[in-house]
Amino acid sequence: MVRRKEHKAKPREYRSRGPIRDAFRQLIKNKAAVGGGLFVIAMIIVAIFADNSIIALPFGLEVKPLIAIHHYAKTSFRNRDKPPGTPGHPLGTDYLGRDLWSRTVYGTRVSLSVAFVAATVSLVVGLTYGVISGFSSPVVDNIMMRFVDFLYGFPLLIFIILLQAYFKAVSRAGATGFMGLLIQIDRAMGGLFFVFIALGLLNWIGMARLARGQTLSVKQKEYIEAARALGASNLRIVFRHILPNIIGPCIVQETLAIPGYILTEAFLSFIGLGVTPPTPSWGLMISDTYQAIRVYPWECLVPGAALTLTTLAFNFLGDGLRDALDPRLRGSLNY
Amino acid sequence: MRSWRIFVVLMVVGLFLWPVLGQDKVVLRANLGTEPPTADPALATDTTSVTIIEQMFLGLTDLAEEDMSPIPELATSWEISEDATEFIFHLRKDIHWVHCDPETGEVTQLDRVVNAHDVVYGVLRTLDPRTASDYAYVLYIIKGAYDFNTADPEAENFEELKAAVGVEAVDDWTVKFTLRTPAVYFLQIASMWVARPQPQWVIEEYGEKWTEPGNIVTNGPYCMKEWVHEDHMVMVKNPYWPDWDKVEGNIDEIYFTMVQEESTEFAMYLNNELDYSRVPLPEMDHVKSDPVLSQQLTIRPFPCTYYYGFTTTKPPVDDPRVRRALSMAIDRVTLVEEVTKGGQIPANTFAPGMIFGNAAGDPDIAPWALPEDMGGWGYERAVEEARRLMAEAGYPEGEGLELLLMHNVSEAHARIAQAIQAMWLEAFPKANIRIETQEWKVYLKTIAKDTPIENVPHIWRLGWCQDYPDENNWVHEVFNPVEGANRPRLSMDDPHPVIYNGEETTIGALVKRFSDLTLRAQMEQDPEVRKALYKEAEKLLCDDICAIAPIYYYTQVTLTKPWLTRHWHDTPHYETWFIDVAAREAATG
Repeated sequence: MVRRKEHKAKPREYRSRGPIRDAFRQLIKNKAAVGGGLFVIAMIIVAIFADNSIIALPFGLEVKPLIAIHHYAKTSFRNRDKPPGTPGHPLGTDYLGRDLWSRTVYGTRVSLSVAFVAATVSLVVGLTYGVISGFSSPVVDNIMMRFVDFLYGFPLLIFIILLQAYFKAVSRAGATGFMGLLIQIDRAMGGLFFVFIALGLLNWIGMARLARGQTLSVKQKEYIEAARALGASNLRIVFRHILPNIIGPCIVQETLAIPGYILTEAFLSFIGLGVTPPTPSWGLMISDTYQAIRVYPWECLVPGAALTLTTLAFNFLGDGLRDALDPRLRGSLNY
Repeated sequence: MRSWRIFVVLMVVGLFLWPVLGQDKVVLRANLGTEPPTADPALATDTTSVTIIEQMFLGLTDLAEEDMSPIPELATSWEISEDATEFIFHLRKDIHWVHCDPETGEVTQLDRVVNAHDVVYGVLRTLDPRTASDYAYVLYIIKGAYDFNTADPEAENFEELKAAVGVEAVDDWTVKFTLRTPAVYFLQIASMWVARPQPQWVIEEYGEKWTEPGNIVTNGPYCMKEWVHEDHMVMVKNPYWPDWDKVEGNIDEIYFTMVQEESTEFAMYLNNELDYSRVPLPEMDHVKSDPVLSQQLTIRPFPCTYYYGFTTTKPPVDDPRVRRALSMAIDRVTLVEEVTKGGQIPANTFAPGMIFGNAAGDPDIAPWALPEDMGGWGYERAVEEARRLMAEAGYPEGEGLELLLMHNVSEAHARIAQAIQAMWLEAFPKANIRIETQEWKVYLKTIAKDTPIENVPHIWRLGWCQDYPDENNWVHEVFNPVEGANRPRLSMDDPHPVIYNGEETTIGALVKRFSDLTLRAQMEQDPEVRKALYKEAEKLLCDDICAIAPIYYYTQVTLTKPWLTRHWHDTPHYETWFIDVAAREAATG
């Protein structure tokens, strides 16, 4: 481990900092992570304001941000396959004359929502499961962890594919009651909802293992014993002492998993099991046009570039967060 | 110094002699596109297998290049009985079975002449339930064929059923077919691979392996020398085929590659590794605008139709108004010009222009599909009418309309589906139209007639290519509610009201009428009456019942190198093709 500058600083300048502030300072120093973070923030803004919906501001002001210039499904057969730089189509058009910039921007919405929903589901379920398992008696812990091991036996991607194929079949047949409600939601979201479920359903198991391991190690610490001696309840110990101490590594792990979710969605759409056309997904856009790469290269390079940049940004951000939040790993490649 | 000069002189002389010495064989390099599933005439179902079978086995009749009318091939002449139920073919006596040595490529003529017994054996083998041919059904027109093909091989009367099939060798050179119903189009069926002579002694000796090189015995203009599965196949000229002096072809050897990707095939063509090639859809614009490639491009009509079928028992497409509105709102002209780009022809009927009895382009049928200059409505009027009909059916602007459109996985189908989805959403903005895809085999099961109705999509994509060029193969075999495949689930009990010829009736009654029409056309012998019957059947199918929305008639889009002179039979007849070897040498260096 590299010695830090703080040791050289004069004692009177030293002020105690909270762990969050400390982590943030660390994060700011990492240029790649900052770049990745800014890119992700820009993507979020793009995803939110893609529509030409009107946002009301105080004092009667209205803004009408329209990042996507056109509607993503607006076809114009006479304007097909136009190269980037065409008036009205900064990144060109695809084989049905749909604006590529607009489709890529809407694709951001699909990719980011998949990323955040899958990550949140995975984090919440995995953390809960892991902490309960780690904090409970060894017998309960054993049972819960053997179940996780059992789930680990499934090849994840194949399971997701099977699940999506099943959802598609159910959705085609139609259903009533709860399943009917899910189908309605899925149709309204252009096929995204079932992708969320398929991705979130099994991706929490890694998180559960991590959270359980962290809980086990923190549980042995003296301050937990002290809290227990002072008469703190189990709930208080979990929420005030264990969770804050293990959340860092868990968030880091989840951030690093996000590019995986984005790629899985792109892959599912690529093989026709993801979102339903014309909802634009980067994977779908690439699969529709990759064979024309010699003639109209921009049609698959634009969504391809968006996909690459986004996964890179999340990876940089995740790396930076890991260095910042997990002091034990500090001093690796970025320094 | 002198020896060096002699060496140079020898080199130069050798260089000049090389083309003469090295090019004693004219080799055509073609791409099959896939491994042929079989080379057995009794088992073939796909165009790739049929292509190689066509080279190796002669049919009783052949289909003419220009109009696909039946012309003599193995049979020199034929007689048709008054009622068109008995067909007698007289065979030629100079076609020998030949065998090709897989090591040397040397062809030997066997001491057997192709005769009537070989034909009878071939037909019966195709129909034998133990052969399990998927294409035996086209021979059901022969008397007793259906009973034999569906019989249990263990049954006691199996041999009786076999003997009852209406095919017999009157003498060594005469074959007689007896049909269960009159069918003038049997001459076209007689050209098909399922009715070709097969070498009984070879099949009995080698079993399933009889089509392997070394085992196989053939009678066509080419025979198989090499078949490296999933890689390539080599065919060599059969010098004993008696008609070489009647064709202008000069090809001694055909080297078939089995490259699946169209883009790879195209790249090989550009690289002079193939003499002709298909054109991948994304390259169409480039090929058309390129000064060299556009000269090598040929676009010809091809006897296949691309269509969307409706599941007529599934709401909301059980309502004929909804089906018609959807069919009307497809802008076929724009679709073929801007999406498929291969010069395809907008379709208003099921059977394309080359099929006997077709009514393609006739503005009496589904005029909305035709542009104004062909007597149709043009898209603007069509879409206006579509909106009106959709509102009348209870879905103004498509409100409340939930549809699922399915197609099998393919980039081209996906493009067409998305384009049509966009057209429908433009016409009915409040509709909810979803697209789903499946792999071919799963897809076929999903849209099969016996799939539970809740699992079937409302609209599904299919194509149909001719087996033989007669409407019977189209409207009857594909859609007849009693005998045909009937994927749209047409029912004679369909109660939806409809006005036909100014009279109020029901869709069910029209389905009954449609069924009667195609059955009557089978019996009818007067070609003009048959045409009229089929025209009305097409009108019912594509317009009044609107069980399908025909989209376009296929074209064959081919690039041919300038040194290759080719013919355009439906299945390639390589014996008629000519390669200018000097020109090829000059171009490829």
